[in-house]
Amino acid sequence: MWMAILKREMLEYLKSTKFLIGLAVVLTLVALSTLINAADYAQRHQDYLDAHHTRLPLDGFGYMRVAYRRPQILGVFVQGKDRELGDQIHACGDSVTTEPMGFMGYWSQNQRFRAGFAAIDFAFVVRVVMSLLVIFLAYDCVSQERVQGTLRLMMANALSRGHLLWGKFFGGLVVILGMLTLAVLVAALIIVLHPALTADASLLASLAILWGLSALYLTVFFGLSVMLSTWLNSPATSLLSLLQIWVVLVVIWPHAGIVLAQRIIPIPDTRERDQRKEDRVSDYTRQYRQAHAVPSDPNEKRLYERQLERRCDELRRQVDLDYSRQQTRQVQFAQRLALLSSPILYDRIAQRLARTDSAEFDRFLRSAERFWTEHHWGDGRVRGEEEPPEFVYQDQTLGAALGPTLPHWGILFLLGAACFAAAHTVFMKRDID
Amino acid sequence: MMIAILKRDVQAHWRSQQFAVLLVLSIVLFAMSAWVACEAYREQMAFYTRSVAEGAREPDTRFAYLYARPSPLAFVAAGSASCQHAGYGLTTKGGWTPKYRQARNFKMPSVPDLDWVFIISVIFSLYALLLSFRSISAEKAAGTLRLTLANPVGRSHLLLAKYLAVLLTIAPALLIGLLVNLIVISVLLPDGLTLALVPRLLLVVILGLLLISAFVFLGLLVSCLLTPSAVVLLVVLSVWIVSVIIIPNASGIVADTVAQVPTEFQTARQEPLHRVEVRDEMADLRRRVEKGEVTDEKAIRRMARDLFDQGLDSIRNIYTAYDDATRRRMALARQIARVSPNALFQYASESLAHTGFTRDQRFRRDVKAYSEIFDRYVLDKTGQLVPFVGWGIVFTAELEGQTIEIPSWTENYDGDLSDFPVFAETPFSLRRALREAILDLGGLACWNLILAALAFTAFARCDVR
Repeated sequence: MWMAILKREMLEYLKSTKFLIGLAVVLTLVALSTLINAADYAQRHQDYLDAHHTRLPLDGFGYMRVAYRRPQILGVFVQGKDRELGDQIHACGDSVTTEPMGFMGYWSQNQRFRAGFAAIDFAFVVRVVMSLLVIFLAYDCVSQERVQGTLRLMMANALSRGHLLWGKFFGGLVVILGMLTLAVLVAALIIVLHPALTADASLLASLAILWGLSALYLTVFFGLSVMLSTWLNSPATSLLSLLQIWVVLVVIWPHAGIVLAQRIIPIPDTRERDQRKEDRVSDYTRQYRQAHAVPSDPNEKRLYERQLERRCDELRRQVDLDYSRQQTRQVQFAQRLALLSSPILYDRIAQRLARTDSAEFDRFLRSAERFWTEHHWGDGRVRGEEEPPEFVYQDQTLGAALGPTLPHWGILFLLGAACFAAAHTVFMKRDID
Repeated sequence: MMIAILKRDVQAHWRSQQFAVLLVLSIVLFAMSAWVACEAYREQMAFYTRSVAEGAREPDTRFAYLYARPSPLAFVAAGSASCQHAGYGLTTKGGWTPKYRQARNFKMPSVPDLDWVFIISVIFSLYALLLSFRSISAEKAAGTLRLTLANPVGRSHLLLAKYLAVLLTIAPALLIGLLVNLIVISVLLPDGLTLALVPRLLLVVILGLLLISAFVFLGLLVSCLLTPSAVVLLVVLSVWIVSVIIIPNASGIVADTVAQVPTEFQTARQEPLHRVEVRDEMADLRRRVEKGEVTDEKAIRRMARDLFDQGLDSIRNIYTAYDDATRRRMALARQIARVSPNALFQYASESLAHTGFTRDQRFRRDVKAYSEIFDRYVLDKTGQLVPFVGWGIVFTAELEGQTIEIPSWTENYDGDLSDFPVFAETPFSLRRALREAILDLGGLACWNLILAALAFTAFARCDVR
């Protein structure tokens, strides 16, 4: 009987107009966004290779060196902040820039052009479109049967309430996961067949993990829909309630968290930061000159000035690093505010998986700093070599990237389980009339 | 009879859960929006005032910093202010470098500005659909539509009553939210709101109501065409997603693909090539001087200056061409996005609020106009126009046993600069704002007319049995 319920549920979903419309929308969006993002990635990757290998005087002059950041291939599916993290950072003397830069430095227009136009990628389709579709598919799975009286008839059979709910839950879930699988397969196929991209085992493994994450995320919305469907009598009421919850979860909560974090943990503007640098440097210079007399010997004087300049560079860099830490604190606070919002958790894990989050930039920066410290003297000259070896950024392994996100997977799982447990409890206790 | 239906529907909507949630969301979001906008406006004004004062205190003939005055109506439509240029560092011969107000926290996820446009465009348009999608289909399914039409009431009057009922439900929630917003702003920024801004605010409210009205007509149209309310909702929400999320965002990607603008790397790699070219030509000139082919110091200085000018001009042209190309791409993206009524509403509101892309374009035009005044002034004072850029080179050569050094830059004029020309943006009158917003306003009106005509036609032909 349990299996009969499951099969019937699956057939009902598959035959419905809403499922067919939803499937067509999802597959079209996934195919188009993957195609466009893949072409964009291919161009950016080509630029990276050209910049890395051509060794034009673009690499700087004097003691300036440039470290290039490779775009992430998984950015095709989860663009995250990949574009905003810049293409390069500069190292000069004792300082390494702490902010991302485009190939055009201050002239960079790309980010500006993108203002007001968000990325559409696989993660976006799952987070916004598919979550909405799941609500449409499941909002009336119990309430409709209650209204029509078929629930009462079904319960007259030798079937426990628990089994009935499990049958409905798994029937719907199989259909939703089937649709998700199709979407992932379409995306994977485009990547495999794209002439400019190479799909290796690691990329396909990442896609499989992205499928698992998306499945977990959609299960939360499915659980929520089943819960409200068992709780509320009218399908229309449950649909409207679910839509309003969706608006709060997907549109308002992420927004509010960021706005609150920006106001509660403000970050000084560039002018204030420059002033802070100037104050520290002038204080230090005054103390230094008071403590050490300027030598009369020209060579010693040059060394004296050089030491002072190095210390000042270090102080300026300290201010930049403080600022960078403040930025990270602000982001972490916003993330804490949104810890129970499933769309934000989904985004966070997906961006970590794709290495397109801001943590990726911090890692790139640390890596470039280490390289620069190892290969240069304080005055910018390269240690023991005419030219330093090429800087090559090693990508984080999949395991290392996903490790810190395990608690978030746990929270997503708990949210889904809590919704289903609530649905189960309500269904067991409620009168079916 | 129509009034009776209207009253009944308005009461039903006002008692509904959607209205209660919409009212709460409206108050909370508009209050939050006001708080955020006041803080942002204060920061922007402080930056602007400080920057302009500094420029006036230390005038410089090598460069002038020009800043755009923050709009007091940024709370209506921020126009991605955090990504826009705060101003330009202008050098002679029209050279410029962008100036940013402050570095955004690039580590923070990017979200749209929480302004009137966002709240109306996303939240209110959705609720317009949620309140209207069942108006006809539910009554048709329940059989009450047939009974209602048995009374002496025309179909068009009935549909009009349904339309007005939804609008009269949403409008109070919107107006209460806006009132809260304006109260918070007037408390936090006592000088922020002036009477002169009232017509623009009223126009944006009208635009907002036009957008909401278009979505109400859409809800009614689909409700007339289809019967199961769930299918109606599925269809209208699909259209909502396309109009609010897909078109406005995807237009950027489409324009990116169509416009074929060179990438930043392709642009940036040209600069060192020009530098190398200038250095080669300088080496050539040095050889000629050392061989004795050119012996007049004045002629050498003039030739070196010409080389610098050519080099700097060609470098400046690279970036200016790229900037122009990205602007054209942006304009194309906006043209594509105009298919969506939400984009029309956003762009019209930005024009009225004096923010966003069109304002940036206007500011650029003002900067270009000032550039000519600046050049004339510098030429008058110093007798030459030497562009000031970050790239400085020195031409050196041995002439008759003596080393001559010619730098590519110049020093600030050390005479009287009290008559330094003051930069002033062209005042942005309401008439100009309306002229810029009129096409978008017309587009929104067209959407309303089309959807209304379709809804009334569909209802007139609708089988109510």
